[in-house]
Amino acid sequence: MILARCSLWLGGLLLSLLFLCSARGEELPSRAAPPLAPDLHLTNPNDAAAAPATEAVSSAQPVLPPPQQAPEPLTPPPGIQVEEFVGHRSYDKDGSGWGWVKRSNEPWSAARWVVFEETPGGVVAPWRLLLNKKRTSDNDFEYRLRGYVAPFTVYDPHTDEFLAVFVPERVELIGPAAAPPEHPGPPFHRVRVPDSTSPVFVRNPNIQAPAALR
Amino acid sequence: MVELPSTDPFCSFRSRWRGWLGPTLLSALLLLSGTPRLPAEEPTQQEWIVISGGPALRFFEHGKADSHDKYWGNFIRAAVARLDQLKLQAEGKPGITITWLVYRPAYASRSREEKLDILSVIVEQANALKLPLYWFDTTGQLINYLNAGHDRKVIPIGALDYFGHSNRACLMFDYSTYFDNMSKGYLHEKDLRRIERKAFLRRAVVKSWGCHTGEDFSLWWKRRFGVPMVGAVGRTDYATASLPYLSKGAKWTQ
Repeated sequence: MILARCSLWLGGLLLSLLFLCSARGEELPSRAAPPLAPDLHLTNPNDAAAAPATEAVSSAQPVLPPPQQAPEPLTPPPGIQVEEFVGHRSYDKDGSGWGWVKRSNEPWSAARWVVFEETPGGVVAPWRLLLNKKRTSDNDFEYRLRGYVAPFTVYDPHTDEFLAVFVPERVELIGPAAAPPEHPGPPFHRVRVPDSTSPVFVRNPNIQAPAALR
Repeated sequence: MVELPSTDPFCSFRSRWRGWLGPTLLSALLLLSGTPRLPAEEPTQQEWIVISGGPALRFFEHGKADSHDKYWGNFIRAAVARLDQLKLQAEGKPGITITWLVYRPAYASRSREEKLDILSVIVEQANALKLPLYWFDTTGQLINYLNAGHDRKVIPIGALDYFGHSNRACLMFDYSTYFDNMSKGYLHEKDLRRIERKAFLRRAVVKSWGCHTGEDFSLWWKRRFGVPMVGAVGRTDYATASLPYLSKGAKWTQ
């Protein structure tokens, strides 16, 4: 009888202990979980997955443009050699040129306004490798470049200009530098087919805008 | 007083000429005025050409506020719609050849980017239409075809449609394909002199379905060929699965 009573009492005690433990077990995570649970329901699983990846990419992206090297040596057209250049990045708000390029031993007066040839998966404009990926991020930075000026020009539809092309093989940052005396853009930069929305609108595209408006 | 006939041989020669010079000139004038109606002058054959420019690379356009060519096939889909129309119009006219010219490098680049065989898709479209497709890789090749793709005295160009990027001064067969915001393959209005004037029929129907062509390029075209080119003042939109339409505030002109 006593044993039976004891076993009943012990059983009850154990049951209540188990119940208490299970109750506490539910409560503990429930205190920590509430902030997380609604988030998981509200956010897109793709976004949730993308967020840490973006952070990882961001932290991997440098503040200064890293050096770049083409995966294979350039093979320029006959008569053109791969040479050492110095490039000065000048952001042009009107056009899509990259900046000034001159041979290492030349003065800046001999520099040419060029477009930077980019290869997806290869050498790209240095600003693309920066944290914020803004075109203005590396404005007035100088680079040591290896490559050549292509024997063809490309058309900039925003300014109706034909621009020289620099084909890079290697890009290394030198650092920030004072802007060259020339304004960004080729010498004929302000002579363009007038835009009908601009105050300088003439029918004949050969008519140049007055000097004051250039 | 009786006027004696002149004995001056030159005078008699002039008077003799006066007699039949008038009718001769008259008949010559009639002949000349009638020439456009002569079957020999009205070509029995002509070529209708549709040109497709290429799309931008997403590498260059991704993330821009005004991002172009999210879909690679804008200029293909629209060209196919136009080719369908032309095929219907050419039914029962045996002398008409319809040709499709496509700028290959841009589609080849986009193919590599999207890991999709776009060139084969375009060939399939041409095969389905049962029309000849010619790739061109340079502006020179296009101009060469326009000038000498056929003997233009025998088969002049009777219609030309352009689908692709353009601005007021230029048709751009690529844009942001090789260079960000730039074009390497283009037909600038200053290049129009490289195309033979006589390549086109006098009554050719020419239209650019690109943006802004009507603002300047059409003027240069008319000046060069004497044939109007319909072009947009403002922008065109390729968002539909058919021919592009004018954006808000834009209009067609020639």
